[in-house]
Amino acid sequence: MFESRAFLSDLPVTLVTGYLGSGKTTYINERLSDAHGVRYAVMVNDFGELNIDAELIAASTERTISLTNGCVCCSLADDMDAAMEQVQQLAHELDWVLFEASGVADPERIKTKIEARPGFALREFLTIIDVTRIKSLAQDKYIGQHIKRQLQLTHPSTPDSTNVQDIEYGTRLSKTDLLSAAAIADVQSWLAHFNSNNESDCDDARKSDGMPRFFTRTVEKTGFLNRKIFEHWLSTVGPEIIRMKGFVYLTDDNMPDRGATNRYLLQWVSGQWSLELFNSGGSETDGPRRSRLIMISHAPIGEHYAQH
Amino acid sequence: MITIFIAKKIITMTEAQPEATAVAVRDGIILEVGSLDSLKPWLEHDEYEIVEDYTEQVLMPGLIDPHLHPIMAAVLLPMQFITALEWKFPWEIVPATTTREAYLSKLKTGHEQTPKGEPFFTWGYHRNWHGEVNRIVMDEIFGQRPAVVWQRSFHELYLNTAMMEHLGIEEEQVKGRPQIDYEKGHFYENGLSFAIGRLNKIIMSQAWLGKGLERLKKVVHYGGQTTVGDMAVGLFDFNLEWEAVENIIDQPDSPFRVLGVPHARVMSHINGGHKQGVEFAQTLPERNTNKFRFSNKIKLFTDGAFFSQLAMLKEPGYVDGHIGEWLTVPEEYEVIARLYWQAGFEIHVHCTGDLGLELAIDTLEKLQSEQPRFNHNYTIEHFGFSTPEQIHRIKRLGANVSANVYYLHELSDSYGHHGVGFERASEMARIGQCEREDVLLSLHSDFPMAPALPLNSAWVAFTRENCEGNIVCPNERVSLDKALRAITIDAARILGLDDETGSIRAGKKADFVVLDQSPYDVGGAGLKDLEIMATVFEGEVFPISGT
Repeated sequence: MFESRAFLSDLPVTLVTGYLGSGKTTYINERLSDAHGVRYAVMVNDFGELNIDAELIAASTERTISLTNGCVCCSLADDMDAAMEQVQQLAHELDWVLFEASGVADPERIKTKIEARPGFALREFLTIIDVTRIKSLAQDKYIGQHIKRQLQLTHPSTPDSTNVQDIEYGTRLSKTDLLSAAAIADVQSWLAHFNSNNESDCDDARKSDGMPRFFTRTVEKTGFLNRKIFEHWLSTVGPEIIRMKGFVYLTDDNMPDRGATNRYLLQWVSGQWSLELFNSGGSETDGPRRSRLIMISHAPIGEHYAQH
Repeated sequence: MITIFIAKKIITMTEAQPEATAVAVRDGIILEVGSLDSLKPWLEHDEYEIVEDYTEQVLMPGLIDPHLHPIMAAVLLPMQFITALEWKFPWEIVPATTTREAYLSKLKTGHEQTPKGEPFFTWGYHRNWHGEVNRIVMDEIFGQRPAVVWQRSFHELYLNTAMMEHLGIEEEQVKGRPQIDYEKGHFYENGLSFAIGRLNKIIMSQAWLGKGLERLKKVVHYGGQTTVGDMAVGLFDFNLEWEAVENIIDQPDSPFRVLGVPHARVMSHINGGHKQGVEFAQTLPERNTNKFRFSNKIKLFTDGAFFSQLAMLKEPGYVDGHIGEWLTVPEEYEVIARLYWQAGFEIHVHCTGDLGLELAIDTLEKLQSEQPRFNHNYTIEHFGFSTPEQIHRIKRLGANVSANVYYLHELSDSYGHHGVGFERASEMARIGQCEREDVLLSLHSDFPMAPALPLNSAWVAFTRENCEGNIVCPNERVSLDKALRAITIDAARILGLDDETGSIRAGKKADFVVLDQSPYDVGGAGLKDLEIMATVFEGEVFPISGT
């Protein structure tokens, strides 16, 4: 299902776009507070707007804040390239990137920038729509053309175009509490004009807030695992899992130092996976051997995975 | 001690006494301009010497480029130039290299002359002349030496295997990516950004930038400039830039002063908010020295890069239907501009397209109605595309224009074919109307985007001749006088330094440029061929070697 450029080690990216004040930061804050073990890199223009509880801050520099739950907030500060470089340095400690775009550049261009960047793979493209302003913004002298372009891109008119397969598009309506149900319905039918299919193909779950929600499950195990058994377990992982990542301690009978336990980095993307020897760099090598994998899916993840 | 410069002609750029033959200087300040005879009252009160080196030459006020980027120039200038067109530098004249054989042989020579262990960087490669040069070709020439071949447009480069290893770029990381060709070592557009991120450890190092700024000093001098504007301090890194410019430019051997205009967005970022940014910008003049200073000026941006066709256009937009980009969200632009306006700053705003310009003008109109100001020096920088109606509004609102006329020289032809069509392409840099409406106008290079040669810019403004040799929209030419004012007194006004420099009159700094002939004698078409013999900065002569 992926094109060849989706490398196993690429960090998946959710691009959150929308005009000033549309609710991008609110959305990002929700994802952060509902992380369920997913270690996010949040790339925003201004940290100041994120609700970061001081107690959660593990370390900070001028351009990054590391949180105790493993997430990192990184300031774009006009320099997307430098910020992406920074996140890439930390890639093996991260699971997913939330990227805030100000919505005043051609969305196709930002998309290309992320796709072209080694180490990143665009997986979700979310447009946040302020229902109270969207119709007037689309007529705005300065940004009307960008707004329209965003809405067209969010509702791809050619489902078989090359990008649709590996990028999920979604919209989320914000400030709906400020309008009557009838007014919202009016905005929705107006939005539908940007979709040439003129029919929402979203399921109910997505309609509610417009975006597929993540379900995650963390699988942990103390002590070593046998590599063959572990590989067999990987083959049983179902297609609903879109990504899995983490460190595992495996004993490999085929290795020259037969029976020795080694730490591996598992990268798993929709059925394709790699195990990379990763003994260095982890303080855990001296502590208890604790394998930890995070599974990410758009559907609820069954209990059976944890019962390995 | 008084120094008297006598010349065949002194062009003062003042309306009261446009021409003279002698100028008396003491402690870097002009005492009087006139004739040897008229200066006598001064000579009775002090010792004096007469400089007779330039009796056959012409003196003008030192030239002014109000908008260039020292730090960008510092990144480029240490590279070896191997180019299809001749480039004149004070340290070398780079001859045109127009064949593949000659290009490859230059690379070999460059490799042999570069000390062991140092990387090799060249700029100026162009496939049309130099054929295919890629990683395989480079590996044969450079062996184990890390090397970079940078394309003339800045938008693409090639790395050899040794450089990729040096930078830690691995095959599995980049193979199959759009805009990167691993086999050929080719990185372009977005792929280029990735490569630059890795190259920064070399080209943003103190040693590299130091070398580049030393060369920039020579470039500025060579163009006859005694004052330049650094029109976005903080473009890469505010503290690093301030320190580098302060350490290297503020030296006795620099024959010019730099007015630093800080980058508003950077002020906000490093101080944690727009308000704090304004407060910080207000403290910057405390750091002033004679040669590098800040004033009450601030740099803002509306729309994207002209060279990348990211200017925001009004209807009918680009021929291919793409849209440009905003560098500042329009609502946010208004917020930031208002804070600086209310704090009494003079706003310089980067605008490339007519919609970008529209935002700048609309905002000025709002600010004027909220809190009227006179003499506010709100200045449109670059001035790519505009409409005639916008120039009326610029005039009525009291704004200035600082134009990069090199756009029309380099791009009017190609943007006609591939961009916006011929009508609008030919009317880029609508400076003729600025003259007709008496809008204050300066010309700038945006170096390294265009050569830092003000006389060359004035020649483009006067002739509107593009690189294909076509005269584009002759009705938008300016007069010789307007063109010369735009690189002297009017440029000084735009930088707010007109009480100090930009013309030759009693009380100003003794900043001159020495020319072989008078621009008024050779006429506008001859401006680019005038020879610059020397500059005088605050009374001190700095000869230009090789002339």
